Amino acid sequence: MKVGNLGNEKRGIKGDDFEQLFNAYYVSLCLYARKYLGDEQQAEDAVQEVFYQLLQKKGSHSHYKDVRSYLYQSVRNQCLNDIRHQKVIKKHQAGVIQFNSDDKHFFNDIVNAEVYRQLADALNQLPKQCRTVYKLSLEGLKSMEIAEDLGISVETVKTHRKRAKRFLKERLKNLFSLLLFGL
Amino acid sequence: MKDITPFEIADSIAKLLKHEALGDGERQRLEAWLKADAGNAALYEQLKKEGNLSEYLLQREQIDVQAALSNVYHRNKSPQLLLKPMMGRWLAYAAAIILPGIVLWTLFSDPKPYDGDQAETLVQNITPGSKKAVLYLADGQQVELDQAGNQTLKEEDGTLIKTTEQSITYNHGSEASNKAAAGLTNTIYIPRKGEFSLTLADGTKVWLNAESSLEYPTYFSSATREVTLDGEAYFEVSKDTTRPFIVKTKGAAVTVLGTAFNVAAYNTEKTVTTTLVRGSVSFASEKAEDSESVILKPGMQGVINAEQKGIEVKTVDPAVYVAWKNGEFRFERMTLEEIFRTLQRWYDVDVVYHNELAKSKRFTGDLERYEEINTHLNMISLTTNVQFEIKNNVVYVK
Repeated sequence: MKVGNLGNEKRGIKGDDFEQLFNAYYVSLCLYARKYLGDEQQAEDAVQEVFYQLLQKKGSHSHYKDVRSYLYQSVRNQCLNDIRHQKVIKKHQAGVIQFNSDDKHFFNDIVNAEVYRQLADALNQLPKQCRTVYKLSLEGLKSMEIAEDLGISVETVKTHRKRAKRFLKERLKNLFSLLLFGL
Repeated sequence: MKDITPFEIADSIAKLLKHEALGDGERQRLEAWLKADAGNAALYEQLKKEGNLSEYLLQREQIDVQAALSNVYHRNKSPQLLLKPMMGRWLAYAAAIILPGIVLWTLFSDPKPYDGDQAETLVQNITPGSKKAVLYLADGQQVELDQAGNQTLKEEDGTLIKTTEQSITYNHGSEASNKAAAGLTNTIYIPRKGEFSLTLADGTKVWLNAESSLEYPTYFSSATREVTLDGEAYFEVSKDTTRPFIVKTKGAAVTVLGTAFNVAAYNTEKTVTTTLVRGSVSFASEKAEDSESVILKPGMQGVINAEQKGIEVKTVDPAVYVAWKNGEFRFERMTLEEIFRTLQRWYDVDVVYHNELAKSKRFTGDLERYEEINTHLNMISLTTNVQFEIKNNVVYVK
């Protein structure tokens, strides 16, 4: 699926398209919004508001080349609105949030969010059980504990772990040598 | 540099990190972008760090997409932030993410921490709490127990209350068990930076933690023994098979016949947690919408969450949860946010997070309650790489 091309001209997104978009971007947008609002709940509220507007066809995204511009721009605007409406003003006064509204940060925050989103996607291409094993091992569980949790044999767990490791090594290894930036 | 979008840059970086080929134009564009600004190159360096990615992945796990989608469809203004049970379990184990050597990522991670400035600035020394409590008698009279010294107070119903600097003891003679109604209501309040213990009229011992209050009668009726808790307390209930001992909290009740257990039930927090050391208790949710109860055995812990249905039961090491009464903090894979809620009460400090990510960092360690807070912050700083600064009784987390 090429999410970047979603969005029918002059019409809102609905049904399956909407859910695909939601599933693909919701979490990333929430973590992105958290940079502005500093609070998980408020971040989720803001992102849900944006999707709600989209669902109601109030959001006009058709003139955006990439639907992602629409989403990130809208979430950012929503966050700025929330801040203006003083929902989070106390936290700002307390210095909890370092808030940068300039374009430079906007650009780099998106790069940050989008790279991580795509890497998380790559991990999701692992078969489901393999992924679960990998995640549990990432969180420090031993093979035996994982086997117990999932009701599979320790050998199977070990196989999954090796497979995930190989996959990641191939997909995500550092590429110092491949790209010489002259840094 | 005109017309480059962050999405093009992000796509290129993601491709690189996934070991996919870049087109010539794509590569030139990325190189130009990286050279254009030191901040850009720094961002790229951050993105390459697997430790950052794994932290990000864990944060993703905390968000429930399906619940959110249903919120949007149903236009629910108060979306849920609940963890699915499985997610909760994952998070419980997430501690390991900060321990070097355990995690897969170490296979290919860059071992050098990227922040050069390791020295933490601790300006102010903050002393620990002490034995401290205020007793409210039935007529409203207040007694500051840490200053009252050894004396015997007499309630209007004849109950004698012996006070020392560390504890109080109720005594209503031998006839208590055949009274139809309970005695007068007393309340003991432990402020921040305080802890205290008391012995109730039936011989039950209660240790109260900082910022907690307990309401109880000067003697119990012949039917039940009921007390009300806001905060954290450890109970050693004296055995009496004819009169169950009931601890009421916001939204929950613990019923026992004779046993030892810890209840953490701060009205300001979403959860009520009961941890059993000896015997058995019935732990019941008393929310209007769903009531349910479970029997807890030694080593089991029940958690009732105001925002979730049902009671979560876990197997734990009870010693961790009652360590406070023996002058220790024991933190096992706890987030800094949870740890600071405890420290705040004992050191009477406020906490301001300059670094939101720090909240979810986890720490394991045994610390002395009667140490200055700086000792603990140094320890936490060493293992989590989070830095602290203290000014005017506020801990700034950086």
